[in-house]
Amino acid sequence: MPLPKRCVEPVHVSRGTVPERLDVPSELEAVTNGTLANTVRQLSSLSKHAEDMFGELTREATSLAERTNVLQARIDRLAIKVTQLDSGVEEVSLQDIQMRKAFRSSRTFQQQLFSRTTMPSAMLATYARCDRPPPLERLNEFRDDGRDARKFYTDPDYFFELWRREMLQDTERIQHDRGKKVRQPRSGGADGRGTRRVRVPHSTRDRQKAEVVTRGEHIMAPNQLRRYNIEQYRPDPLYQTTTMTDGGYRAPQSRPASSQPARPNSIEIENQQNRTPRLTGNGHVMGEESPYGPIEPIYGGSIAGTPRRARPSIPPPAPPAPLQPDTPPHHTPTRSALPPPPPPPEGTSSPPVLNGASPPHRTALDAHLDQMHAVIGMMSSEDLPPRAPTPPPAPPAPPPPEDEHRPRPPSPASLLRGASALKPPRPAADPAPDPRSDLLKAIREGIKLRKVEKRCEENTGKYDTLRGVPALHDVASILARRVAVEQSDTSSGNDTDSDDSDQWTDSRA
Amino acid sequence: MSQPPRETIQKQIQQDWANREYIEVITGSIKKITDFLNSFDMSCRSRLAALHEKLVSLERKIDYLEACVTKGETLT
Repeated sequence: MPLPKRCVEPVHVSRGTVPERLDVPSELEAVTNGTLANTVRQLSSLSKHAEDMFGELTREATSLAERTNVLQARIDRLAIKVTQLDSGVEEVSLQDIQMRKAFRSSRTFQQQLFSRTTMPSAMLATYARCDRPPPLERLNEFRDDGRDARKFYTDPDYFFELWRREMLQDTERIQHDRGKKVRQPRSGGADGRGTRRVRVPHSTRDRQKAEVVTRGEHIMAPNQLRRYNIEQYRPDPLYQTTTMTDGGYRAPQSRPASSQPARPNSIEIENQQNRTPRLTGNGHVMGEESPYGPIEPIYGGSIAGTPRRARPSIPPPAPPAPLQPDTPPHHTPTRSALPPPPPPPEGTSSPPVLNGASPPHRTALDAHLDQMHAVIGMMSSEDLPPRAPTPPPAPPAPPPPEDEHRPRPPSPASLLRGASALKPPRPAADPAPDPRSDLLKAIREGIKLRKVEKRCEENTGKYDTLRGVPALHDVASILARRVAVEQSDTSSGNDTDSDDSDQWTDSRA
Repeated sequence: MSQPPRETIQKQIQQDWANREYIEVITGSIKKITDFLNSFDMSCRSRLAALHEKLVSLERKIDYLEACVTKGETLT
């Protein structure tokens, strides 16, 4: 039903113009006069509406003009400022750039455009003439469920509520789906990650965290995986000890937990190497794999049997693998120098270990030392009892195994636990402001910054959800959250694509 | 009851028709005015809305530029 904004009244000019009681000498003239009078009334009504309309237009135009003036002033100031800019004179330190906050528009979404307050006065007048709804709110005290009785009669928020619920559910569903999707590629993409992930560590981390949160599972941070890969080449006594320590603070189960995290990693590495050796025919790698290989059957049954099956089907990225046997020693230092692994989610035991072994702030010298350790570790690692017999093609074990503690043959690592206790503080270590090269710092800072941004996004999302009731009337926040979710979705998808496109496509297919 | 002369009745009716025509002209004009006002209102509003949109985008751009150019201190 169209709702007229302004009505010119009276509508029927000629009706009722003949006075009933009075005896009129000439009825025709009376009608004519009455009609004319009503026409004049119409005209007056029309002029009133016109005045109202022009008033509105004028107000709007004035506000626009004011904004334009303000904008002009700002542009002028900006022009002056820009002309004064001289990159040659001003020093811009890396620090400044890093510490600079990301730009955030303070502009707010326009919302509630069609509310009582924005209703044009003409309509408001019409509205005021409406009958009021019955005072059902007086019955509120008799309701047990605390709902507003009047809302059963009339509820202006009904459709918004409907929309809000739908949007929120949609967003949650997207998030949920994304969690699943991300998971698959990750499990499959262990190979690619080890080599290429370096570029986008933050995104991986976030994904991991998200998964951990949503699934309530333990997921090893990508860094950890990477490191494990590296370490596998050179199983380090130090590393093992640290793992043990991590497990130690967890609980009595520390031992299995610590060893388990190592396993999946090792398996993943094995996958890479297994495939790569086949490709490259590198005997060295093969030898290392064998001890860890046996693990697979054990895990396959309980935890991640499906993901593993799926993984083998995924072709490992060919290019990175061949390099690994030679490169690991070199890569390790760099990687360790790269972003520090995020604080392990809940119980991730082993990741910190690597940090401990080679904290981010380490210098190249330290890295070399690490390498030496690693080599030594490799020597000793061969002595280690096979943790689990695994067929060479064994797919990388999924992170969840961490949580599940299974009996294992005691490994030398367990013996080293005591020693590891000394190193626990390191894992949590965030990058401390240590002497580092500016470039390194810059890189690390940059990564950190991005991470912070992401966290902000998450926070805002949480904020919205937490808001609950306030979000009710905030279209902008709901939409913003949805946009954020979808954007992060696409971005993560891109990351995976870039990192291990094979797995990604496979999983999708 | 004396019947009014036929001529007077005719005269009255003719006068009435003339009046009706006059009223018709007036009401027609009122309609025209209304139409014009409506179309004027619509076009004005659409133009103002376009202007508003441009202003908003400009303001956003200026916001961003100001943020780019400034270092700590605020321009506005």
